[in-house]
Amino acid sequence: MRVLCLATEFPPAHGYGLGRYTYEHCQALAAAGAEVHVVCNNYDAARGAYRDGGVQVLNVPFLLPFQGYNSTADILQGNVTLFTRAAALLREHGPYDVIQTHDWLAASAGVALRGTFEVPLVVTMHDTEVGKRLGEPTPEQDYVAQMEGWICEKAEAVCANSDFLKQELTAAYAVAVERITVVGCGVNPERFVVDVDPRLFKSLFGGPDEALLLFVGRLVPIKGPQVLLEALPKILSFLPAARLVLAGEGPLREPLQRRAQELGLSERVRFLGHVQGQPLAALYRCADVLVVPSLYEPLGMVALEGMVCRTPIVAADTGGLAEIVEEERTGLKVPPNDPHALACAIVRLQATPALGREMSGNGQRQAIEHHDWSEVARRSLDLYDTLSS
Amino acid sequence: MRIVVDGRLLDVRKTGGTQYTRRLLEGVAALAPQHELVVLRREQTGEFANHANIHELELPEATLGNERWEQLQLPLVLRELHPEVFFSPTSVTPAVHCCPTAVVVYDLGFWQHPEFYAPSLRSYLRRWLPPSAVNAQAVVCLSQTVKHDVTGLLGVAPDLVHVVPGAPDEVLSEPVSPERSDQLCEALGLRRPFVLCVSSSEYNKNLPRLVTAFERVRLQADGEWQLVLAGPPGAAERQLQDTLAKLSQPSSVVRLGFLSEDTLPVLYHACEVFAFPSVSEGFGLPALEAMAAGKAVLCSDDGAVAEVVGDAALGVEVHCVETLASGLSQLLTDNTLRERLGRQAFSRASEFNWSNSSERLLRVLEALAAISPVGRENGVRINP
Repeated sequence: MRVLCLATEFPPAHGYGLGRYTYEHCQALAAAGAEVHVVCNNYDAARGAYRDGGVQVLNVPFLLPFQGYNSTADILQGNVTLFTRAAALLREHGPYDVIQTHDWLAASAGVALRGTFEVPLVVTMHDTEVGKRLGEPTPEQDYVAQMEGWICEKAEAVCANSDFLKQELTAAYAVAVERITVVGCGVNPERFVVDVDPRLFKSLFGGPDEALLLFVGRLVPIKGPQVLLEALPKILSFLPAARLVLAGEGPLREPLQRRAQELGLSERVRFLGHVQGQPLAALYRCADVLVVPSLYEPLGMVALEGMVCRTPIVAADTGGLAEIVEEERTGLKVPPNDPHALACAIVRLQATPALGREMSGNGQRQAIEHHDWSEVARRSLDLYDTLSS
Repeated sequence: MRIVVDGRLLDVRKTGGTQYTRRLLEGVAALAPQHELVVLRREQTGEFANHANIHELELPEATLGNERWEQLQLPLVLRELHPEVFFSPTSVTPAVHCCPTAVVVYDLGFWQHPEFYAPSLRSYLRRWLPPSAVNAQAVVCLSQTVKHDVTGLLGVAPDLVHVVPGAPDEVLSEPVSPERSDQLCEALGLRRPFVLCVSSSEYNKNLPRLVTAFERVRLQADGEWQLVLAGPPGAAERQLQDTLAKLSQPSSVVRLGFLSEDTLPVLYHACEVFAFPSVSEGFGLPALEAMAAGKAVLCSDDGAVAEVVGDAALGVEVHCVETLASGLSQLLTDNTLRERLGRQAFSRASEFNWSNSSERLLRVLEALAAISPVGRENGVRINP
């Protein structure tokens, strides 16, 4: 099986969820015996072509200065460069059995390659614009929604990483249920093996007896850091020594810092910026509670990562996150956007350490057994087989 | 191979560690042009411009003691740079494994003499230095004394601990013209003969006892001796001020602050006797610098300083004003002793030089790069 993957976000240049998913998915496909070539846009240092494990990666630099993925012009130029290099690959190293892409960012390149080279196109969706927008859509959001609907329609098959997303794709873009395969999401425990004393790491943020609450994710409204911050005064009234640590970057950083100051909590809240790799694993292991307060979360990778690291979890009862976390078995669930309920659950978890220990043990088992990348790869390869035959 | 160096000490005011980092960096770069050295520091200065294989990487958050940077960001920087070896002269390394690592441990004073340390620095070193040394694949110490402490107190295997001593600046061994000395003494308002001490007023430097001892003996000798204290104020500044306030003749002791690299060597040459009363050191570079200038040195008869000066200095029990005073009195009154010690000192100091030290360090780093995979079990073992 020869797979050509079109990627926009790809580690190490990009360490957020979509990029990490794409990376692990490619590695798992290769481990399962597929020949995987990745063509990805690169806007950091020019890394060129390299081999990483079983995956051959080809970086395509932008021709013009890159402003960010919210610039339509940049998405367009990204697609043009991706198309050009992928077309060359297809001519020189083809044929490929399938073109795999993720979300809508490389949709134009994917659809064009599919038409030109008659290779089946598979798109894996990670969220929908319709689901994640808050309030009235802007023209840009409308455009993104149209692109998402378009690629789901053009692709030979659509993959979703959770049952929730399958439902949503059907509802939002009228994708026929039988065209959607839920491939799921894995978590690679090896990436979170870290040989560090959690108590030592915890001392970076506070004393050993202070409850350390951890938030991991982009600082954007959809991830709900503002809900957690609003819950903090109530949490502190029960746990006066609690500290909140936010690992992630985003436009909400300044407003959140200001709000923390207004609440008189600056001392208790720490913004770490983007953390990844082994330090992130160490952070998961030293935290007392991992809080995932997302308003919308079709998957919930952060919860899976926390589970693998045995971090007790309090998560919002929404989307794919609700599928991953089982109430009182692998974590506590609260209604999204409800600071009061969030505070109560966190306090309850801290007050009953035995519950936390039991849930984190269950969580780790659950994550390792049911979120194995090789299973995700197997489901993908089964799907590719049906398309290429 | 690529060696990444934590260069944060380069950004602070010149201390022993700053000098050590800079000279070893330059030494290793000169010895091994085939290796690339990437120096992490807060600001690019271009000070290594004449070494083609030293590159400075500017990281605005990289400040000394910024533990969140050390533990959360530095591992990512290392992952991006993908070095064969990471060399940290700051005594602290990331707790998560990154790549084969060599760490410098200057001393374990924060355990042996906690009273000398500000509480924040003490707790920082207590938390991060032991795991850094234990996790590293090679520990570098400046003296056998510290090596002994690192193996004994931290339990690091002796063959993973490498002694790479510091050295005096070559400029110190060069003669200084009498006119130059006279000029400087006049400019600084110094009267000869004088006893020089180069030390900040930190607790371990033991300056109040030296001042008291000097007060007792200064009239025993011929001529009017002065005591010249050069160095920036430290944590024990107030104690020193109190002692100075009690002097019967305040002009007998002169305080000079932090002196430039051009002035200090001349001052070393201008003195008659050098006193280094520090009670705890990992090496004791100022004593060695005075020796390189051919001066008789009064210092501790114990610890790393005694090891470094060998039998080419007058060692005394420095915790006691009486013994300090009697040592000082010998040096002030006995010209023959002073001259003999000066000659011996010069020859002892010449045994220490940066090119030897750089070569030792280079051997450690090169052996480190050969280790794979990184793990606690693996380490560099070099037979001397």
